[in-house]
Amino acid sequence: MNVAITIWENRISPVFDSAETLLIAEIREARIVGRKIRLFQAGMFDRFLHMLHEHEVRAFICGALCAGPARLLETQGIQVISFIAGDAEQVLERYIRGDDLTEFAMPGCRWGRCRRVGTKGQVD
Amino acid sequence: MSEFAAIRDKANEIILESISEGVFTVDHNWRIMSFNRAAEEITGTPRSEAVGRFCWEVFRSNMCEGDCALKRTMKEGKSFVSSTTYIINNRQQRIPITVSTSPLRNQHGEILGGVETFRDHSLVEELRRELSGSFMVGDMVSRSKAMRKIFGILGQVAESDSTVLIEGDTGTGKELMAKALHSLSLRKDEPFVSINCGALPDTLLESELFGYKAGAFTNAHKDKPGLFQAAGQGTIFLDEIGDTSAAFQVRLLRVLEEREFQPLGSVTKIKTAARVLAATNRNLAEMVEKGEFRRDLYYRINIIRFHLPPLRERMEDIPLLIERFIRKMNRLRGRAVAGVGQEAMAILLAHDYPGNIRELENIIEHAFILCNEGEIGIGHLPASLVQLQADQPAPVCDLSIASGVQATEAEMIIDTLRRHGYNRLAAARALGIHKSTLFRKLIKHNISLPEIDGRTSRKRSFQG
Repeated sequence: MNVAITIWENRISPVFDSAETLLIAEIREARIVGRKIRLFQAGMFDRFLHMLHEHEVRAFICGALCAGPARLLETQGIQVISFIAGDAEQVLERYIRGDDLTEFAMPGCRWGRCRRVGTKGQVD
Repeated sequence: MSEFAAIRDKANEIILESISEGVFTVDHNWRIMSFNRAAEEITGTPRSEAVGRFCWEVFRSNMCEGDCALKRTMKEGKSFVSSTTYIINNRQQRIPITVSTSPLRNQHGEILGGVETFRDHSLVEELRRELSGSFMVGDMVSRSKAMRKIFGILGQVAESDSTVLIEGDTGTGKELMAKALHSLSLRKDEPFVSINCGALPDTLLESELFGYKAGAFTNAHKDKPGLFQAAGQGTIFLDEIGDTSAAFQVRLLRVLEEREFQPLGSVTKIKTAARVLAATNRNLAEMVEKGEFRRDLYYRINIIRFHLPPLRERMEDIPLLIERFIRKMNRLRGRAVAGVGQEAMAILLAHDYPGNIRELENIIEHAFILCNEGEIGIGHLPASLVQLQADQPAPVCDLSIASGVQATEAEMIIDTLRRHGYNRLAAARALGIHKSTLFRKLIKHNISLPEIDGRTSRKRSFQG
């Protein structure tokens, strides 16, 4: 499966709306076997969705994300893990291990706040 | 610490905790040092979780990654006031805010960090929406006098069961009005069905409206219920009724009068309880006079009539409609377009919209293809619209030769006076007229002169 993360330098981009860079990691048997960097414009959401489909992205990790786009992503069958902060590589590594990502939750977003979905990695 | 300093610090703390503006301070590493009560409320983040974290993880503004006001403040050592932006709170909502930033300095003037204050504008936005909502019925919005008059009686008309005729140019929102009438009526939970009568030939239109029985014509293998049947106790909207044939008008009149219809190929009649709303972009009264529309049907459907004004007669609605379309398209396409820039708005307001509201919606949709976020500018508008405005001749108030001569004379006098340092005598000589003639012309053209008159300054310079 492929996992996409919005990145800002080496961190997870704080707000999806202003994010511009997407890291797409190809994961096979709990290992990263490929990485791609793609630029995108969050404002062009339909194009962004198309990009995720094109790269067969099954899970999407990002910073703060509004309810509207989150729901649109979920209806497309993409697992959304939003309101995550920290080092992108660390988060990805923990996600692949199937760990709970609660410790990477943005301040004010623990204990189910911010309606983050799927805090645990679901790697096939 | 002295007692006075302790009291001052305590007072500052109380003030910070009681104001409605969110305030936080950061150090050089962008870690939050303090976070007041209002900041907790606006962001939805408790102070205990915010302090010590990176400001962008807590504040979550769309400016954080690119155009951070605090970063500019720390870099330039300057304050920035009232930038408009939004944050995303812990309920996944965009909160509109205004932000001001200042450097945090010690007593030696060294920058220790930055302070950011922000104000929640949700209430202002909400009130603005409420205000526009008061001119709203169903999906229709308007501030125009004519439309507000219609809105005022729409509720009563909706509650009655009368047939309504809606007249208006194409794209003025006739179907929206029909839907509003249905949703305000007691039939709102029943179906609303609509058909464009002008788009179908007679036979097809009749089979669509009244349905048919199996074997009524070739390929009619089974019974098909018509729209009158589908509408049940609801509402049926017949659009472009002025484009129907005389034969169809007779059939429709009978249905309206007898409240029953006969599907094609059937020998029995079916009762209908549907309410009929009709619309046209043509002048039915004129058509009746010319014998192009049946008088009896006209009187049957013209029990209550609404005339929707074209958009060019309700220009005050353009900003309201634009805002509505932008909000709708932002929601549908997940965009963050803030509005329309001043120059683009001027072009939109100058257009006369032969296609009415539909044309305006199409223009905004076109702009959305080119504009992802920020404001819609001239470059995002259709080229044909921008070109049309550029081709318009500049407004000329008075085209007479006499007024042109007057204007040129005044310009020449002002120009000559300026070139001669406002020395009246020198200017009069240069213009080839007497000094007293110049004074008469100054009064005639209402030209006021500065305090200096050329001679004074020259004298001064000679003395100097």
